[in-house]
Amino acid sequence: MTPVRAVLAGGLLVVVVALAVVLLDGSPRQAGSNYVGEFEEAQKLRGGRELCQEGQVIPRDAAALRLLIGTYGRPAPAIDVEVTDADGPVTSGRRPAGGPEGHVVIPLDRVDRTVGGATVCVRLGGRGRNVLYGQAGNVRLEYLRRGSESWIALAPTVAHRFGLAKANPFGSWLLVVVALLLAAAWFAALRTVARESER
Amino acid sequence: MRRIPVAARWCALAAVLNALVWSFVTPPFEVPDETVHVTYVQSLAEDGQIPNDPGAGVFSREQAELMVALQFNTVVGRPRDRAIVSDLQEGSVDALTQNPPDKSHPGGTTETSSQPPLYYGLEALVYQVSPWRNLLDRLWLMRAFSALLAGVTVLFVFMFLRELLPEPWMWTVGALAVAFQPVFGFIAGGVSADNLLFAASAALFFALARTFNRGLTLHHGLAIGAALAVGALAKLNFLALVPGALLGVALLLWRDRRREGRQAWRGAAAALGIPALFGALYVALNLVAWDRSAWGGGVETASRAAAGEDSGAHAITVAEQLSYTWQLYLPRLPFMNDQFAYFPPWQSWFKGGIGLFGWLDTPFDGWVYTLAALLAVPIVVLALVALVRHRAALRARLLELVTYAAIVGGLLLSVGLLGLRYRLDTGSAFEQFRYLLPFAALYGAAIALAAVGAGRRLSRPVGAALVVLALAHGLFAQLLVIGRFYG
Repeated sequence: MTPVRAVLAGGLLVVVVALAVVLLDGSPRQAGSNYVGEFEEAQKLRGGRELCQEGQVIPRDAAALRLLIGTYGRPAPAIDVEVTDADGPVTSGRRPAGGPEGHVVIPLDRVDRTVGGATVCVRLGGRGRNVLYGQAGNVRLEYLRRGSESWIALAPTVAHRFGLAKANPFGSWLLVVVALLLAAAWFAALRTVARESER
Repeated sequence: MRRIPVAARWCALAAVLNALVWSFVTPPFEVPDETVHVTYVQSLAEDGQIPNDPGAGVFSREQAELMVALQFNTVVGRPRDRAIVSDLQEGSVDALTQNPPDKSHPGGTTETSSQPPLYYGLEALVYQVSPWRNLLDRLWLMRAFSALLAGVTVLFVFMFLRELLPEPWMWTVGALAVAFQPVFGFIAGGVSADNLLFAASAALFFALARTFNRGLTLHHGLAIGAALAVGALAKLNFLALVPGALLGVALLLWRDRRREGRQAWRGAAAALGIPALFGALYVALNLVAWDRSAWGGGVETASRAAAGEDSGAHAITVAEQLSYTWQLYLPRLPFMNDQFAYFPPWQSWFKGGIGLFGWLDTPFDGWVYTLAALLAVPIVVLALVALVRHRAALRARLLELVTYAAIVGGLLLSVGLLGLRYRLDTGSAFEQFRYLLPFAALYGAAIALAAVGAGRRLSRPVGAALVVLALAHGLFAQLLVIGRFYG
């Protein structure tokens, strides 16, 4: 093997290893959100009160809800969440009191299909004042998938999302088609380098 | 075509394929200013007009409703929000693509209104010949045209390097470094006049290098003139390259006037005459067909900004302008006022070049830039070593180097001149790495030189390693964008 080909082979091996490290890295992943920015105090809510937001889209695989809450220095209150649509309950969950204010995650029963036109109700425990953050009176609702997932585990979901809202005759296979396009680009590049370097 | 080396075609093909990948990776409208580039194209294609009415709406109903359905306004600038994630959301996009709303354009002024129309005119043709009738599918076809322009750029970079460097492998290494540069690929995967600007700039560098090598003749003058005309009609930023190019033509004429005789004069006339001719045509179209000022407003606005003549705006002193422009590229000197809350050579140029995607809302993690800096240091050192080793060859090309330096200086100065006015008017930073991509040919040369600097025995393996590094850089940038929008 010529030195150039050895470098190309070694370089590709390093890329494959780096790629594996990145793709196997596990982390909580987002199922979706209500696209409300987290810019300002959206709603002030006393403990024992309930806030409902209508017309929400609950993404498939939502298994937790993340909110930004301010408690004026007190520990975060207990939080109950109930999601309903015209057909009845969609999901619900509860987070016990405790922990600092800031981002809190309320576990939900996993939602197995995307639900439109839902109403999300958040009830806070305790009696103190609280602030929920969002934009223009709407609280930001960010849905997380269950647990921690690697990019490999998430690949089918990414492939599905990647195929949406594009000029795309391939559906969820578009990501594979694009990977093949990239492979062709790499082949063209590596072939040319190898040939030209050995001339 | 037979004069184009096979390797150049392969490099161009790799660039086109890579840009096509970017065209799918980046969601619609998520390339900087793509919304207003598309609106310019649609206005030209549907109504034959450049959008230039200050009182009118900016988007056609079709584009406005598509942007809403795509959640564009709630995703752009917010890296915690994904592009649409469900079939339910896609349903509203499908409804629009199956029954597109009114395409006619209200003609409102946008950031791109003052730009010349060549890129948009070409994209309007793509829009018209599209087999699809909805904007979402047409948008991808327009992106594919930009990807082809990336191939053209890389082809010219290769040909430029062929004029500059002695061995074929060096041309390949430099051209491929450009082809897989992630910001270049990202922009090439979108609808943006930058893509024609990059191609014209690379063509200009090639035409100048070839002319410096072979003499100023009519043919070479025509090539320089064509590159100047296309660039000037592609995007206003190109005008900053023109003084340097004209200096090059003057130096060539001075050098070749005896050897080439009349040929040199004809070449110079062609180099100046072609852009002058097309410039006159552009002015006539502005005045007669599009009902706007002679230069479309862009040159006039830029001139006023550069001269500090904008009424009601904070006047900029020469000292402020010099200080700002200096600090944009170099460390602040002790007697200068601090112009930036950050260090632009690192924040804007280096980090921007390593990767900042979407509407500047998708950076790598901080450690990636540190790693990139560690890798960049030996690359820069090797390129400098090559320059020192081959200084005799550099001396022989002094006039050519002076020309390139003037071109580079012109663009850097223009970013400084316009940047301060923009910042004072809007409060936002002006500079972006893509403004330097007209120098793609020089970037390719620098990477090839780094390989040369490794010495005769190691240069080819180092060149191969630099190409693999470029491929990896591009790949991880694409994964970053996929993670941001679909993860």
